[in-house]
Amino acid sequence: MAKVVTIGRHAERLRRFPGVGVTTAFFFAYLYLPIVIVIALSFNENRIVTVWTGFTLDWYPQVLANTDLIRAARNSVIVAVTASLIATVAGVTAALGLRYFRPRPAEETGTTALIATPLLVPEIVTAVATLIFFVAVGFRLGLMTVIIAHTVFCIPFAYLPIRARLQGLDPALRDAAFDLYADEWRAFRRVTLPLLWPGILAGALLAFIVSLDNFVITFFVAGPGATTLPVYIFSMIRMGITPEVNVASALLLMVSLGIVTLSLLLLKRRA
Amino acid sequence: MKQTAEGTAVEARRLTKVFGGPGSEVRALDDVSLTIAKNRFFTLLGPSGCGKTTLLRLIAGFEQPTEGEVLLDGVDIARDPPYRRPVNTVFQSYALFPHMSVAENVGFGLEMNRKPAREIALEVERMLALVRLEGMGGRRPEQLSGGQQQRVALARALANHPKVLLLDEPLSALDLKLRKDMQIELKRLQHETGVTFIFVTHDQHEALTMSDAIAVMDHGKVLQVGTPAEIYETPVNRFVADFIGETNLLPASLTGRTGDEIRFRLDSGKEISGREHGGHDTGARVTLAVRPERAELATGPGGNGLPGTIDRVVYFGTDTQFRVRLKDCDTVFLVRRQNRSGHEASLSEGQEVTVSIPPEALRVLQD
Ligand SMILES: Nc1ncnc2c1ncn2[C@@H]1O[C@H](COP(=O)(O)OP(=O)(O)O)[C@@H](O)[C@H]1O
Ligand SMILES: [Mg+2]
Repeated sequence: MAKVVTIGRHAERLRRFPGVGVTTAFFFAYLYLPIVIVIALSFNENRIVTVWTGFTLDWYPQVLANTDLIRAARNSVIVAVTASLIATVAGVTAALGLRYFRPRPAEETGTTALIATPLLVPEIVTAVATLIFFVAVGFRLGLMTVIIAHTVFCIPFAYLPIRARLQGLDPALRDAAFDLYADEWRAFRRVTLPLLWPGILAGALLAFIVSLDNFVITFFVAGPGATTLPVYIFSMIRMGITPEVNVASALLLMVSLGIVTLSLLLLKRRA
Repeated sequence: MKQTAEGTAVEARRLTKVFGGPGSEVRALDDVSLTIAKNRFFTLLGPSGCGKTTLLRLIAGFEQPTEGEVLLDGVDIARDPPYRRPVNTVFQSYALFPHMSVAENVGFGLEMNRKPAREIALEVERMLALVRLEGMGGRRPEQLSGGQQQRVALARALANHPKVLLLDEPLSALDLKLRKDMQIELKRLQHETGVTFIFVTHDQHEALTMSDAIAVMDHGKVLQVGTPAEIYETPVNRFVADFIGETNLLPASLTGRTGDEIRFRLDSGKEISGREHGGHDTGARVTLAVRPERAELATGPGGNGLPGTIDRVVYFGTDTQFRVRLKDCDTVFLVRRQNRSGHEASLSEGQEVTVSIPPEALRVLQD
């Protein structure tokens, strides 16, 4: 109670600080205005996207009738689902293994750093390296190579939230399960997994979204017929920004938002 | 209800637990041997970091001993996983499963032991009644107060009818009033269930008031095992005497004996006599211990006395503590006196007094 009061007082003082309101408004505009514009323009009647002439829904059926785009979207979903699932399983096993089967915490920290380091490697470097690798071992570029590459870069995104959640769990909970006659498997099933669930969902979601909108690596390793939605949108844009590009972007955004909302609802219902 | 089954519940044989690798070794337990009788309220008492939790975790099976054996009912269980030991734990953090209801928490062990659902439901009811939480089964742990969570943790552990219940500082998170209530509650539960309780605390007062037997630990070793009275009245060494209650420690040398009178000379040159020699010969350096409530204050010269000046008088309600600065040495000697009518006005700060020590109140300690 006292804490709430102090935070409230701090917030009040901050709000009265000159310029805070304007800066905040500017910040959010900067963040969201471009996205809002893309969505708005997807309803623009005029073929020249920068000239607003009126509202229409006509572009949507036109885009959804574009089989190339639909195929690209399907590829994106296949890749994102497969890669995020595999990466999440890897993330869960890595987090559990490092937490419960390493005697020294320093090893856990070191390995976590090693798992997270690829996040710092410039994506273009990873893309080139992955392409060289596939060519060197003689993999034919296709959807499979995209899935493999995505799985790899999704792993740290899936792992980190899962690990954070696991670190936040009282280790006595697992001991309590053992103490109450649950073996390793049942302690995991009945205690660790349900409590880890929000972290797993967050990790899977993050991996899914990162995979869904990946461009650079996909662009390098996607073979013919393995085009994903971002790569397809890029190829469309080379012929100029058309209403179809805006519609495709808006659709991609809605899918992402839909998934985030769904998972938040799921989490809330569990809690 | 308390059964009179005699015998040993838990025995530790030469238990050693070393944490960490070479270079950063921590000897959490060092060659501990201990026998804990059935149906007792047994307490592990010692300062923080002395190895109490480690000993509990070895009995529960969360840790493997570096060396030694843990026997339960005469069988070595040191290599059994925790889920095969008929022992349950009340954790310091309670460790209630937050995603389960109170009833599911209490029934968890029975469920893992594949008891039929009806039996589990009955037992859960019985346990909730035992800890006075009837009707709370449907709640979530987070909807309960700290004291109620504590009771759920107790019910959850006792529901499995363990041979031994391990309690790791279960009361340390509670406020004073609740703590006093739970102390009584724990004693009642132990009495009603007849389960051997191994209780960990760093609070000597708690240990003295609750236990049938106490093991005093320090630096991974068990220093003394005994009843509260034995531990308090005849501490084996300086650490135990100092840790349990207040003690006056006086360095001295043994100067001689006549009959059953043993004479000591303090470093101040003063002579006093006692009844025990602690196995020392004439000329040996010893430490003498006197409990504050066993010494008396006299205004004139008293028998077997040490002269000094009252430094401070501290009123404690039931008794009063006098801090007496002894003459010829820089030692403060504590004396406690019951506050009975007629005593109050007679002694004040700055007054010259004699601390009079009955010979049988003098303990000779090993260092
Ligand atoms: N898992 C561990 N790894 C390393 N050192 C530990 C571990 N557990 C306990 N210790 C060390 O062992 C000693 C005894 O700890 P503990 O049994 O928890 O003491 P207590 O419960 O009496 O406070 C301490 O020095 C502690 O730092
Ligand atoms: Mg401890």
